[in-house]
Amino acid sequence: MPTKILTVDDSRTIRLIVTRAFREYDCVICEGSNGEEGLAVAAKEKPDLIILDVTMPVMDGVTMLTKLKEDPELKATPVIMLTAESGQDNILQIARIGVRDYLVKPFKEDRLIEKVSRIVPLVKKAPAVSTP
Amino acid sequence: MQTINTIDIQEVVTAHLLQLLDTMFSIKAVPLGKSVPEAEPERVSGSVGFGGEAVAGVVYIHLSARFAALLAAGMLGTDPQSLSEAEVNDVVGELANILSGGLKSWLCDASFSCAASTPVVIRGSSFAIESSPGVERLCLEFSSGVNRFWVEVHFKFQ
Repeated sequence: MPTKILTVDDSRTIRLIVTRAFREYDCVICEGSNGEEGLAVAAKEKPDLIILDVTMPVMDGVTMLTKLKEDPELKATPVIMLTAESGQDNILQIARIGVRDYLVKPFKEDRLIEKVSRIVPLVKKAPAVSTP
Repeated sequence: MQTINTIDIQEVVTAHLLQLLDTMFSIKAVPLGKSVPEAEPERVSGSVGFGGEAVAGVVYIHLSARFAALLAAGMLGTDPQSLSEAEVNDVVGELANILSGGLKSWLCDASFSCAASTPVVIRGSSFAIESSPGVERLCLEFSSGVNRFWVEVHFKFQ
């Protein structure tokens, strides 16, 4: 069963980077462009892990995370928070609301893989076999 | 609360920009010092505002449309010609977002708490950014290969 990851970020660029990071792994990537969409996709897809941006329009990451924690079916879903801010206050706030880990932008793809692999299993895709 | 001056902001923004470009775009840039942005046939500018009780301002990054497309293509792993304006704008907006995040983090750690806006991207030619009276304006020029670009910070300590 592929690992299902939900990426929620208002930047299509970041969602593409996250999707690309897992291209060698047996993963299914779902997307949301804000917290409201993210909650809807999470309820439908029941991801194994959520990678969640903090600052987004419509509904921000902190609000989405709070609502996730209120949902009995989703509250146990591990969350990695993505933030552009490395300041102490921001990191403390993120830690207080109960995320499994966080990643500060800018980030390298292998750093994201490293953090995700500590939380959910990541299995590399079998290499394609060419037939003569 | 410590005192912050233009030199501090210049150092923070420069260091963060160079790290950002290296980490996410794998490109090296060189700071060229203070300089007002020059006119471009077509420019793409990303901006993010920040504001709190003691400080407020806006961070801009100004790129030629050509360089913006090159950066976006490099990040997305595709050909610049295949990208739409919306795709390039999104990359520039995220650049501005991450750049301002670095400045905001530093301000917050220096006890100047503030919140940040979501990015805004402006695309066009022959436009200039002007600041209100009492607002300081810092313009920094950078180069990457033959490409020159600018970061502009408008700020006011209340």
